[in-house]
Amino acid sequence: MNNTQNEILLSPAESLRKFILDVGLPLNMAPEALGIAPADFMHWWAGFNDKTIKKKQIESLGQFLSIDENEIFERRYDRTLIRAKIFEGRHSLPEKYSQNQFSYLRSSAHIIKYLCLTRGQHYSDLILRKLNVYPLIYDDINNKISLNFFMDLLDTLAENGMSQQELDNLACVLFLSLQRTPLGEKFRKARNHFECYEVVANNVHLFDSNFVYDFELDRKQLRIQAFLHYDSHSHIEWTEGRLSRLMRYRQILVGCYAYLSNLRPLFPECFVENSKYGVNATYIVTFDEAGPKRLFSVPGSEANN
Amino acid sequence: MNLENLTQFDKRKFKKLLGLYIRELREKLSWTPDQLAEHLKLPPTEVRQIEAGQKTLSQDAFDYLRHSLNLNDHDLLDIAKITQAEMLMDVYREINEQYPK
Repeated sequence: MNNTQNEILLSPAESLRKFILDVGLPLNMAPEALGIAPADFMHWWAGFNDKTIKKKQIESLGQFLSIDENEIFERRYDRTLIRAKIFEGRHSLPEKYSQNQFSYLRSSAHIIKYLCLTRGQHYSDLILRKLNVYPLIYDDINNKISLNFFMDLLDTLAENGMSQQELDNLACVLFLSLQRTPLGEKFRKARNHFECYEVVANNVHLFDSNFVYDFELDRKQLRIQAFLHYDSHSHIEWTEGRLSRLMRYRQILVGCYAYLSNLRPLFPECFVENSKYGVNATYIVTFDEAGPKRLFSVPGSEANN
Repeated sequence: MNLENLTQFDKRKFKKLLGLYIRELREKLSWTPDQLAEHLKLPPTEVRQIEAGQKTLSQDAFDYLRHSLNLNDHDLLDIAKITQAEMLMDVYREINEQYPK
């Protein structure tokens, strides 16, 4: 594919705007990269003064990113390399997410992928920037993070346009990060709800250890006790709203594990007790007496194999 | 990859997400819609309609897009599964008494 065929010539300012949007250059990094004052940059970015950006700024940007500035004009840059350079060394976490790192990134990776597919890469990057973390932390979903991050993630999504229905749907798209993995394969092989929740019980430690879990599982019913000690999470701001949002997500998630096995979700009864020591949640899922109900799977997906 | 199967859960939503996916791919290539149209040998208005999720594609047109843009089949399946998941959640919200209120 030849990017320069029938190329429409853009001004330096237009080329730059497209470039910034395309590579996701954080706007707070852009003034330094361009060698101009933050106020001048924001003035230009808002569309008030196109004359701010000249070839000199593009040259400065090229040096900042260690690329030839003509690559920006001619739009023949390697986007992946540039993003790696922009976010280089940004695998470190803000302090509030690096304390009590009991959650794996796997427990939120599906949300990031869902945002990319349904709202675009920019929205996903925007959300993560608001949380002061960088997209590259998801390079390894075995990395760990504080529960605080997940709670802030839900809050930030709600503050940036997600309805409660959409937040609920996040619990049902866990397949986005698990399918085509060994853990996803275990779920796929489950033939009924009992076997599906056996996989959950045996692998819950791969998602988080924020809660202390106790599973009681037989062919008719699943009962999960999940207790979270406040002492282990004293750095987290426990407001009623944040706790409620988290527990709602987890309740729906318990029901939606079945979807990973292409089975009908069974939403649990959920009882939450709050004490000065922590939060205790009990989930009870009753299995269908008539037997499992397989969902019609998307042909071509592994579920058909 | 059968388009009918992919769109069976929510045709409108699948078209919209496919359009977004193609637009994101175009932007990664730093192409304008006109350049994409040139590459696909389609009218620019049609490319814009596809990206906006307003164009109903035939199986042949879908296959052509898939091959011309080297679309990732796993991503297309994920998009279809998202439409299924959201459809299911809509149903359960209405009828399942255990669904959280």
